[in-house]
Amino acid sequence: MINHIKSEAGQHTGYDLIQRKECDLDSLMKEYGQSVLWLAYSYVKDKSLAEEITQDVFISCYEKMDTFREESSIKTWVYRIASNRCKDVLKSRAYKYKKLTQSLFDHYFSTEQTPEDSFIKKSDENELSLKVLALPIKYREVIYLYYFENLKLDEISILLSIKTNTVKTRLHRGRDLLKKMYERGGSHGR
Amino acid sequence: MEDKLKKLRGSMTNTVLSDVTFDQNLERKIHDRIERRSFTSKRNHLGKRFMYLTAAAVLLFALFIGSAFVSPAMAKMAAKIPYLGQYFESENIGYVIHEKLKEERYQISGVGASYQGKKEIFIDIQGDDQYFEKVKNEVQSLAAEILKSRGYDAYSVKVGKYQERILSEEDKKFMQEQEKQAEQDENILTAINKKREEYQLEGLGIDSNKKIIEMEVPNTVERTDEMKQQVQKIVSAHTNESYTIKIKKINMKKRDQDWRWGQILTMVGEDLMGKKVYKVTGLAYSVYPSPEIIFKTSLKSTDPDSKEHAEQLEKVIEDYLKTDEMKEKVKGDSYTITIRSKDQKKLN
Repeated sequence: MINHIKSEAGQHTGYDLIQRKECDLDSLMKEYGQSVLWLAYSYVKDKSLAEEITQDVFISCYEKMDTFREESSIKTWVYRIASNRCKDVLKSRAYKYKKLTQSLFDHYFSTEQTPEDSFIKKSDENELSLKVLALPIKYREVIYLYYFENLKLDEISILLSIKTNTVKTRLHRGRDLLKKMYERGGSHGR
Repeated sequence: MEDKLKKLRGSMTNTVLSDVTFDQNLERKIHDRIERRSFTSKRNHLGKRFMYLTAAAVLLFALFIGSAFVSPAMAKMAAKIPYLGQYFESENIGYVIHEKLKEERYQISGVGASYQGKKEIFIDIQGDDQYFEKVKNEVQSLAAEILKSRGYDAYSVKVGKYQERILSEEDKKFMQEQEKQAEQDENILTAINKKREEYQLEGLGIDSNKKIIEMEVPNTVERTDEMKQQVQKIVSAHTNESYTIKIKKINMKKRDQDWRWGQILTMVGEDLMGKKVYKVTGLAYSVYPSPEIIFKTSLKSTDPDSKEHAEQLEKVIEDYLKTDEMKEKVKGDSYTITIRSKDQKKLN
């Protein structure tokens, strides 16, 4: 006969699971919330968009929690979800449209200093940050993960699904580009 | 360049990222969205009605282990941590509390235990505010007593009020449709299940949203194509909709192993999680390729004492797995015990 999962114990187990999930999410957010938000910012360079992405990332973590396997560390798992989500957003039409309207808006109506401008009395720190953010995404992400997040080469390789050697090459190339930017003394080139 | 980049974190957090902070506001937004979502996903859940023939095996966790066990080897060990199973009662702590509260006739809608992060026992009380205020403290102390009697000092108890969801007309209509669908699903499953022995069914499920019927049979079974055709006939006797029949062949040995180790972990974990002294914060297991039980702890890999604690922990667990009661579950499988630090490093 069929054993219906309707016994008290069964219901209780389900409840258990949901509660545990909620709790997992809390600890996940505590541990990685800030990092995910920063990582997202490093991709999209927009605070409110980065916040939206962070929300999406944790919701997706919540949904996929059951499928998380021990073989990768939680950290790389979360970062991977975040990085993928950022790339999706960057590719999306809505984002491109937003960028376009924003740049028009900036161009015509901005009398106030944008955050980037207000930093023009730039300290060295700021100069470095802006230059890194100005790198093309594929170099920016490895530089960020390696230097900002202190991840190891193989962790980055898993996270971005690229070969370790590719990570190395991109790091190298990224550094070269930065050096050139410094030589040129500009931080342009989105 | 390298030198500059080494300071990237400091540079960015002092400048561009200085006002980009993950605050409670953001945390709350995420919770809100999940709250809204969990209702939507519940709908899917209703449509996805899986019945596992073997569910009973999973639910049968009422495992009592007789007397406490102390091996001479363990006694010799200058253990700073207590032996496992001293007061052995392997029933899930949440379940025990639920049963006790039910016995005392409290109106309880659920009891849950959460192990990750903060270890907490949640108890939800049904009924109006008046009732809640009346029994809140009693329930709290009763639960605390049960925890204490087991020596579980790692949990805190949280008593809350069960919130009924307010359903909109649309929701109600949706629920009714779901009920109807559920009835049909059940009819189909019951009909297929009549052939259970003939097909050697190990599992059976239906997903009426995706129109899939999934059957699980041992991987020794052949002629599944024929089976599919027959099942297709049974289905069409009950509905005009067309369903895809999927037959999943399962390795019975592996599945048996999977279940056994799931149980083993639950039994070992109950005490380890319940008492602060073990410093265990999480459990995991895998049987692919071979059984491994993983214990996450709050130890720091940089702490020189961690290694010692991990080794003792391993010893305690291993001794426990060698008891006669556990041998029955282990069935001679070779296994690994992994103790992890807070930062996911293997300590033993």
